Amino acid sequence: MALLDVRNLYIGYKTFKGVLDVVDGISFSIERGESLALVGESGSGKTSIVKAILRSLPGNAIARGRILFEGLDLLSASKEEVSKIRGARIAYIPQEPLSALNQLFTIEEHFIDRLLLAGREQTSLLRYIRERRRAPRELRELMIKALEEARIGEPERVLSSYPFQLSGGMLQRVLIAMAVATRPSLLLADEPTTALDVITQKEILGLLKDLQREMGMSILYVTHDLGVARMVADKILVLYAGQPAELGSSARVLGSPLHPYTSGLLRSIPKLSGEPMRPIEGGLPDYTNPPGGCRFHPRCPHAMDKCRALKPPGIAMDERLVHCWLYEV
Amino acid sequence: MRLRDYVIRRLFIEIPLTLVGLSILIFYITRVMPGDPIQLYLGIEATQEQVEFYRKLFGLDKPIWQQYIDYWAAFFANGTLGLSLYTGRDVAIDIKEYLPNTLELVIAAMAFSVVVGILMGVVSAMFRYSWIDNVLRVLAIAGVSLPKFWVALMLQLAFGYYLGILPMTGKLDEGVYVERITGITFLDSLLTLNFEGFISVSKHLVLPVVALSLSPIAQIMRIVRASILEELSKPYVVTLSSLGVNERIIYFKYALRGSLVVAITVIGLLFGFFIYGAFAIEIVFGWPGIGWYAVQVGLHKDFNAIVAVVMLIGLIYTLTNFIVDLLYNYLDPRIRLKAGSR
Repeated sequence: MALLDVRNLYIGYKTFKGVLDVVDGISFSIERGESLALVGESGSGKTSIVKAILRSLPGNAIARGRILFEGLDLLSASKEEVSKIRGARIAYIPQEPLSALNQLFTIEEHFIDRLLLAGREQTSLLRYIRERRRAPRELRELMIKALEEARIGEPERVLSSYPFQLSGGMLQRVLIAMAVATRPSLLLADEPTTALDVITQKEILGLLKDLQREMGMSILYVTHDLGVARMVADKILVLYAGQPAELGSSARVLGSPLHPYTSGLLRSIPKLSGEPMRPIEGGLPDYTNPPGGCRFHPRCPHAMDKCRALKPPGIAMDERLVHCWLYEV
Repeated sequence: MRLRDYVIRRLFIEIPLTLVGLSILIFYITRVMPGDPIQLYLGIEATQEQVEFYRKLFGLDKPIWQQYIDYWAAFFANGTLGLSLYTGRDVAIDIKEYLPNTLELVIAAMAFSVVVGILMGVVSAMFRYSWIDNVLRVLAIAGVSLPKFWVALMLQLAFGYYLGILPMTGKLDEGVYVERITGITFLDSLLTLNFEGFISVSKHLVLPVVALSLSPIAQIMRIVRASILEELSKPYVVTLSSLGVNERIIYFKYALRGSLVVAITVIGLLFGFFIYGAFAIEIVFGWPGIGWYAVQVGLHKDFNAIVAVVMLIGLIYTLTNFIVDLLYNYLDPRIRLKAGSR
């Protein structure tokens, strides 16, 4: 059984303009120890999928389908069941390290609460205060060890620092240490390096890869950067406007793309050789009234009548699933 | 700038300068305001000689700058604040008698409204847009808009007259005596282990404190609610909740701390409001405090007492603002830790 199995996920948002169909018919699975990257433009629904796994979609969201984590459907599970998993078995690294922590509290304060409260149901404030007062002694070693694992040189100093005193790269390491301290089996990394410079980005990705190997953890990356995806992910799911385009091993998908959108994305990357970029024309559709059939057809150079009418199913070929009528047998 | 330098500059330069400015202004105003206080004091039948005699007695025949110097020289030499026309005593003695009563009322109201206001603000933010939030917000609007003296009268009517469970006016029941140590009866009754006095003064405090606190509670609640909602839209909420820190801790620890930084400004300003709000409340509840005293001396154009009361309120305002600044420093590490590098 796969660690995470997402089946036919739909996510919509109720707004004054109508329902936005942001994610439509997404399926993928992640085995233990494996990593998968969700790739797509900003606004293609990647972050909504992560929020659905964390069960932290906003109140106006509608989610259908299944998200099976170790056999438990996170979408239909009770709040108590989810709170036992969230933070403990599934952890999360945010996008923007500089604002990801409360500026008025030290790293230690965040870290202690995270360790003290993860995997538990709602606690009363009095009970929390009692436990918080007793806690630090035993937890301190655990925190220092976690920071060292994330290759932080001076864990003691970092623990007593405030977030605004640390650099972006250092904060991202801290966030990684916090996330993996409970040995989660699944780590969700939402654009973990977008806000960082290229050198730091490489270090952070290397760190994540090492931790994944050492701890046998699975990682779900969310990124719009194909270079990042190629570097860290075993598998890639390319999304277009909330629909799946292509799912397969990253070497195959990026090495010989089949879907017109994947090849379009690859052509849009600026190259150092100065070869002219050929970005895909147009932009993402309006989610209140997305195009019928394949949502990519208005921008697709190979669009046929069928593409406008019918949603393409996943067609298995060349070790991957491609959602495109071009490959219908 | 270091915190120590800041404290020294505030305490020994800025605050004294402000107070000197205020003292010149208020002293001048009381000396030139229309209507002769001596004439008012002696009544229309007083002879010219009597008026002249009293003018001399109060030093009003000298130039104003001379009066000013004499007044403050006497204060720093003997701790006197001039004679009061209204009580016929040294104003300093009057203030010593009335101020603790007001402080008692104001500190109780302050504590009550900060605790209740913050709690209501957090609850209102937690259950935003639900019926709980709506009820609390309607109460807040009522709290801000209803005039204090009217609320005070209604409370007296309801709890004092119809239900008869709380005293309507005064500070202690008849026949109850509390030995005076600090002048704050609530504290004195505890210090002397006077249980009867403690119950009595507590009962008398309830209605004035509630009446005085309604509007501050509403203001604190609204600012806390708004700033918590702002806090909750910050990315750290997502980080913490997805790492398993539950909602309640996020609200009451992380979001509240941020919103306290905002609320503390309002609370500091409210302390001034309390002193001035206490005027009306003290009169309705017959509470023998400085507000009640201020109204009496104002009506009698009691120039020395007016100067002293205004200076006192000025001192309380400036000191409160100073304390608020120090609290900021404690609550927001960014101010504390970056101060050294500025």
